[in-house]
Amino acid sequence: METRNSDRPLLPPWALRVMAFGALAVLVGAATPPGAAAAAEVQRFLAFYAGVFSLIAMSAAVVSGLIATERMILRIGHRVLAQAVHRASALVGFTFLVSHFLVKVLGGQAAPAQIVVPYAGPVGLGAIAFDLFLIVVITGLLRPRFASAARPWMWRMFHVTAYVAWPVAITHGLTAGRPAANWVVLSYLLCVLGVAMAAFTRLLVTVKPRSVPRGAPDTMPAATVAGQRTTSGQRQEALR
Amino acid sequence: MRTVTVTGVGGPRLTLGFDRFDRLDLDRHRAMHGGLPAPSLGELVRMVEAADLRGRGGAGFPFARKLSAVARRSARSADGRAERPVVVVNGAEGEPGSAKDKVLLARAPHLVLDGASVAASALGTDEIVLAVESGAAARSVRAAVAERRMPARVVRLPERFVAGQSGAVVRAINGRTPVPPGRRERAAGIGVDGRPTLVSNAETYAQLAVLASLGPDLYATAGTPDEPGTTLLTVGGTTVVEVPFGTRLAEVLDHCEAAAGQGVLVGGYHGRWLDPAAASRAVLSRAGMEAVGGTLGAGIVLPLTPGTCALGEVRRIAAYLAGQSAGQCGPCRLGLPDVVRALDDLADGSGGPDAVRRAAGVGRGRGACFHPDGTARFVLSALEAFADEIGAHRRGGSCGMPVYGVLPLPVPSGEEARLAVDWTRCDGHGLCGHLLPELVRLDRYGYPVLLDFDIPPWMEHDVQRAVGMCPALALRVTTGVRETAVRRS
Repeated sequence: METRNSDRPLLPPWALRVMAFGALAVLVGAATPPGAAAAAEVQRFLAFYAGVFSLIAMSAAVVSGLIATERMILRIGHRVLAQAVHRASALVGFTFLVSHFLVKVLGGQAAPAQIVVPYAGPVGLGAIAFDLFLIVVITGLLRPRFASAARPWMWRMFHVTAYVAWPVAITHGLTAGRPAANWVVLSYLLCVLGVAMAAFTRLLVTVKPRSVPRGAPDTMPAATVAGQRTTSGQRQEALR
Repeated sequence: MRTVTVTGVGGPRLTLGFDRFDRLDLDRHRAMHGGLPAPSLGELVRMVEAADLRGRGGAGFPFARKLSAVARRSARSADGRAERPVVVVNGAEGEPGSAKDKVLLARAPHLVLDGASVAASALGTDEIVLAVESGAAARSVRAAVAERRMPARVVRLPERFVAGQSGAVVRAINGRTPVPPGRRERAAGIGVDGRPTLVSNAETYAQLAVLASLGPDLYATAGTPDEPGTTLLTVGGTTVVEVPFGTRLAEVLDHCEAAAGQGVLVGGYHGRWLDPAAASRAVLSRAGMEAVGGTLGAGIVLPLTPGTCALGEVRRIAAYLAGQSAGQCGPCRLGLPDVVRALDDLADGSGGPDAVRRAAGVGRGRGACFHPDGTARFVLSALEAFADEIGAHRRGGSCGMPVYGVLPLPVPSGEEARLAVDWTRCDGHGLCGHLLPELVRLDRYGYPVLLDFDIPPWMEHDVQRAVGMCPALALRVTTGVRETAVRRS
C-alpha cells in the first residue's frame, strides 16, 4: 500500500512549477529597489512575529488534537475535520518555526548551533522545544506505518512529547528576547486557557463511560448508514 | 496463460486450419482463406446488412450502422480538412471467462487483420490500431503486422474488466487511463486523435473477412435464416468452440463434455444465469437466448458444476465485479459493494432476496458504462436460477456445500491487500466508516463491519487516509493469501 502511481502523485504536477516560478519571482523581485525594500520589510516582520505566530498555530494544533476524539458534541464528520485542522495547523506552526530561527540565525541574532543545542538561558528552552517538536512532527508524518507495525503504542509514546514541548515553548516565548508586549502575553494566556480547556475535555471523554446507542434495530439502520455516506467531493472538502 | 482447446460444431470458418496448425502465418492463411477482397464501401455495407453482422463484443450493435456512421462522419468533415477515419480492433476481453479473442489473435491474426483491412480500404484509410490484452496475442499480432508490411499500431491494454469498453479502449490508444469516459460518446464521432473511429471486437473483424471472401449467400449457408453465420463461444473458460447460430446449447455442452450442472451462466459476468431446464431448451442465437431469458453477450458459457455452493460462487464474482469498477461513478462505487453485502446477508440467512434486488437496482442505468447494469443483471438472474438453493440458505443459514471457486477469475498475485482491524484497540470512533463508506459500515454500537474484499487500486488513496486517521491506530492493511481458502457457506 506504499506504492504511488502516476494517477495520484504526491504533489500535483503543477505544484512544482508554481513553486519554481514563485521562487524565481521573489529572487528577481528582490533585485529591484522597491522589491528589496519589501523583502527587508518581510524580514523585519518575520523577525518579530514568526515565533509568536508559530506558537499560536502550535497551540491551535494542540487544542484541535485534544478535542479530535471528543464524541459527546462532535459528530464523526467534525472529528475528521478536527484531525485535518490539527495537521494543517501543526504544519503551519512548524513552517513559522523554521522561518523564525532561519531569520534569527541569518540576521546574526543567534548562532546556527543554538537551533538544536540547548544552551543555558531562554534561547536554550526554544532549542529544547524545537527538538521535541521535531520528534512529534516526524513520527506524526509516519503515523500510518506505526499502525501496521508490531507495537502501535510506540507512536503514542512519541506523540506525548508534545505535552512537554508546548509549555517549554510558551516559557521560551515569554522569556527570550525583548520583553513581551502586552497583547503577546494576553494571546499566550488565551492559548494556555484554550489548551487547559481542551485537556479538561479530553480528560472527561477518557474518564466518562461512553454511551452506547441501545435499542437500535438488529439490522444496521439504513438512516445511520446513509448519514455516514458522503460523496468523494464532500470528503475532499472536509479535509481542506 | 491457460491452455485453451479449440473445437467446433459444424464446419469451421474462423477456426479453419486450427486442427492442423498452431498459428496460421501469412502463407498458410492465404492458402486457407484466399486473397484479400477489396469491396467498395457500398458493397461492404450491403453485404454486412444482408448477413446482419453484429458486434461480437457483447453489446451486439449492428455493424452496418457503425460502418455507415463512421463513413458519414468522415465524409462530412472532408470538405474543410480531410479527416481520415481510424479502424480500431478491440482485442480486450476483460472477462476472465472469455478466451475467444485471445485465441483468435494468437492463432489466426491474419484473418482479423484481413477484416480490419477490408473495413479500412472501404473507408478510404490505412490507419489501423490493434488493442490487445495478453502477451501471446500481442506477439502474434506484431509478427503478423510485420509479415504483411502494413502500417498498423499495436497497443497493449491492462487486463481489467472495464478496460474493454470501447470508450476506454479509445482513451487507452490516446495515451490516457483506460477507464470509460464520463459521457457516453459514440466513437464514430470522436475517437482516436479526435477523428471518426470504427471500434469493434476482434471476432467481428474476422467475421467481416469471412463474409467479404464468401459473399452473403455462401455466408448464410450456416446459421439460421435470421442470424446467418457462426459464432465463437468460450465454454468453461478453457474451450473455444465455433458453432453455427441456431445450435442447441445442450449440444454444445455435450460436445465439450460439460453438463449444465446447477445452472449455466451465459454472456459472461455481465450476463444471465439459466437454470438447468432453461439451459436444456436454449438455442444459441440472439432470438433463441431471448426466448429463455438469457443473452449471448460475448459468447461466454459457464456451466456451474454440482457440489459447490452456487450462492457463494455468485458472491465471489459479485465481489470481483465490485472491485473491477473504475471507481468513477458513485452509484457503482458505493452500490456494488452494497450488493456484495446483501448477498452475504442472504447467504447467512439474515437477509432476503428483496434486499439484494434493492441493492442491485441502485446502479441500474446510472454510470458512465454498463458495469452496474451488467452486474445487476448477473445477480438478479442468479436469484431466480438458484431459488431452491437460496431457500436452503434462508432456512438454515447455509446449504451445507463449500465454495470451491469454480468460476474463473484472474489468478491472485499475492499482492492483494485487505483492511483489517485490531479489535483490542478499536474503540468505535467510526472515522473509517466515514472515510471509507465503500468498505466499512458501522454497527449499532459504532464499531466497523468490514466487507471481505480486496482493496481495488482506486481505493488505495482513501484507505491510506483512513489508516492514518484512525484515532486508536486499530485500522491497518494486510496482504497475502487468506487463511481460509474454502469457506463453508
